[in-house]
Amino acid sequence: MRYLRQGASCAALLLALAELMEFARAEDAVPPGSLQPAIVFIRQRDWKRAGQALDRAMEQSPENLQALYWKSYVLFQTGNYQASSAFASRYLERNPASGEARKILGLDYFMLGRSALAEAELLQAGNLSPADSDVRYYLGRIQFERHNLPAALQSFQSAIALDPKSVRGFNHLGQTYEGLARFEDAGAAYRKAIELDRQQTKRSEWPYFNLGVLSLKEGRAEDAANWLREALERRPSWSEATVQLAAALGSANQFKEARQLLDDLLTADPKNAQAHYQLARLLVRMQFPDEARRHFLRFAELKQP
Amino acid sequence: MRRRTPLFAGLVLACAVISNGDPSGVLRFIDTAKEAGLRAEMICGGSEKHWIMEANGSGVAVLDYDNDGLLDILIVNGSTVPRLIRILAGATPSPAANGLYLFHNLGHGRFSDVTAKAGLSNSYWGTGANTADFNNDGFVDILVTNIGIDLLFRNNGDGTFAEIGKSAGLSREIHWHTGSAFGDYDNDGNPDLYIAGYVDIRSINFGAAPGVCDYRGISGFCGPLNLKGERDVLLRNNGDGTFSDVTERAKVVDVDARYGFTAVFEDWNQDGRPDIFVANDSGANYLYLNFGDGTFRESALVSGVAFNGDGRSQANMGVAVGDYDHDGKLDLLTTTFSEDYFPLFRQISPGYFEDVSAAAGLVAATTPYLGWGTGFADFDNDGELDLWVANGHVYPTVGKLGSTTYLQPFSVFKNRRGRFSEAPLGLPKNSYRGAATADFDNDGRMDIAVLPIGGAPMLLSNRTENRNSWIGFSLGGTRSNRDALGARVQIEGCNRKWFDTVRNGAGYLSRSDPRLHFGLGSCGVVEQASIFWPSGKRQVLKNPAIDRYITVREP
Repeated sequence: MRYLRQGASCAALLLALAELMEFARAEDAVPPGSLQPAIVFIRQRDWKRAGQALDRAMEQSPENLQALYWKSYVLFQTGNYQASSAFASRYLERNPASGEARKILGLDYFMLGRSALAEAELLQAGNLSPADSDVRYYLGRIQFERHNLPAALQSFQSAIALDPKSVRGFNHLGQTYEGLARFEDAGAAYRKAIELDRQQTKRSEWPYFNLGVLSLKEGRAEDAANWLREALERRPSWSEATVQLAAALGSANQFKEARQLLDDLLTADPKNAQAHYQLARLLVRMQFPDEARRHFLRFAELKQP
Repeated sequence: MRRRTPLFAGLVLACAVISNGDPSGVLRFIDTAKEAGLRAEMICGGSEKHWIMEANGSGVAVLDYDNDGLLDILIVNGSTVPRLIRILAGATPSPAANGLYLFHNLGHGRFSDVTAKAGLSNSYWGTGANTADFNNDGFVDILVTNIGIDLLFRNNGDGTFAEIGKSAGLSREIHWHTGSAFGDYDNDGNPDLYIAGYVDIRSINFGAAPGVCDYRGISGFCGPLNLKGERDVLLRNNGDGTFSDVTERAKVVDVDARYGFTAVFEDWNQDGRPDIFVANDSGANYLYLNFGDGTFRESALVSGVAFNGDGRSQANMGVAVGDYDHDGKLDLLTTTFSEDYFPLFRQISPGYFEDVSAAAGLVAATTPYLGWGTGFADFDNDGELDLWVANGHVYPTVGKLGSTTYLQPFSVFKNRRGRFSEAPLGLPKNSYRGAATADFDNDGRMDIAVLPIGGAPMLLSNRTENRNSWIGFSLGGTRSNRDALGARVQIEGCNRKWFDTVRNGAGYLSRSDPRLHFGLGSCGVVEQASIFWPSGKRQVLKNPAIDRYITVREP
């Protein structure tokens, strides 16, 4: 379950990176002359035209350092990580002290599955930008994905020290504690993330979900149900949270509501294997073994590779 | 534990309604292996663990081979990779110096190594230790499963054994067999035998350098998933000293050749017929329900024990069986890999189980551990079954991860009204594998023999002090099989009930005390003990004496 909850990490990382690169660093500020059109397109997130504008700029001035940087950035945004890493590397050959470029290169490597290189680049980026909480956060994410939980713990703690209001920082700190079987610390981190999230305008469903699943693991089914309901308020059609909520309700002997949730989910998504499994478990407890058998068997069919 | 006067017993009876026994007792175990003379050197390949066989360890069995009333210890040992390769290449194996150990219990906490005198040896890579009186002659026999050829040692009744695997009809091919279980599935009075298979040893390419796999960023040997599995077998006891392979006829064909570790016969659905549960590594478990016509139907998924509560298969190793919640139905737990939990499957209706690990407090408590040997036992006789687990990781360098360690504790999880928490034992950490519980000194306190993957075994002598009572039963079948496998004992006292069955299998590659033991807490009287023999006979004992083992012969 811990890893399922990490499943959306790559897409989330990409989105988060887009938010991250907000043209804040002086070294990468708007360059003069020919890069101006490209920067305008980048600001508009029009990656295709930004790329074309950068190509034209580099034709005119092949060694334009800023163009190399922005080219790597645009290629990253369009999912062309291999090419992005090549431009970032070229940029870093001439400007090795750029924390931003190392950040892009590190995330390129991460997306390419070269996590050791990714971690090395982000470690350097962190040294070059000691006040950059994002670098620590993404480093932590990579270390978490690589199951280096003690290192991830340190990275998330550093990220939080630099940005004490980071919901995602506390959320991932919680997941790291959970991975280390430090369930009490994990719960505290999720609660902190939720406390911070309640102060935000843009809310996250993840700490509610994670605290719900953790509570279920700890045998506190009613608490789990409450947290999972909150997660679903933020993301109503979230099937994974619905299945977990049904499991929590089942554990709390609230069979009717649990069954309704799963029936509704299976009407919308009849191929949801986990929903069939949880419904089967529930039906066993409700003493409907024949119905349960049908759902167990459907689960097995859907689970086949 | 001390005996009580009738007056004291009466007082205890009065108090029993409000007390589950002496709560002050802290569990206390002392490793007495050295002074007891339990000297063995466990081996399981090299210390760096380059190959999968080097990771799994071996088992220990408890038996009273000379019927002197004291339980003896059989230890099965592993081997080395070069020796295994030679055997696989066709070399005739010579007995290994330390392939098996039989320790005779001399009493007073002393054991004597009688391996050679008993005529026991093992030329192969030993895995499982099991014992049963398969020929019903009143002397317990020994089964050693191997990466090699399994060995069946018939007890000659004079302190010696004869290896009769070939004449008994056991396969003479090389297999990687692991856990075994005896049980009388056809209720003909002769214990049959189920043997789990792990990996087809010939699917491992020993001609090349050992494969290296990534486990969360550390390098280690490759697990079983890309190897061909070894099929399990069911052998029917013909009653004439031989067995027949009835795997296909009985419909227990391990079609997917899953990586079997532990098997146990038990009447899970309470229809009076022994079923078979098999814990499989990295795959769904099996639950074969006995139809009573010589065939079984696999129904683990529908019964809720194929996967954990999330519908996820786990790396199931050992199996614990017991009625931990006193609801009259047997529950089961499997030990699994680290960073995963050991699922506790509570039987909610006959043959149907629910993963209640979270409510039982076992998710958080077991996630750091990689568990092997396991079982339920009441170590402080408070009337509640505690859970014990022999833990230890498979990768010597796993500590780098920070989330787990290679050396892990031998754990006891105290049962407090169905919720478990780990009791501090203060014992050394190691990478433990097989283990067995038994009352070696017949003092009513369950002791434990524990094997590490390398080095010396531990003999954990139970020194827990309290005033709780207990009762034990040693059953002997007459019409039923001699070991009374499948017999159910229910005791009643102080408005409480306890029950257990005589079973073989479970644990991990090991065999625990063949007797039944019940802690009674502060209940100082057993009003009635009912014995349900496999033959169908029911026997009732009124007010049996407590704080002792009672020998009962089937009427």
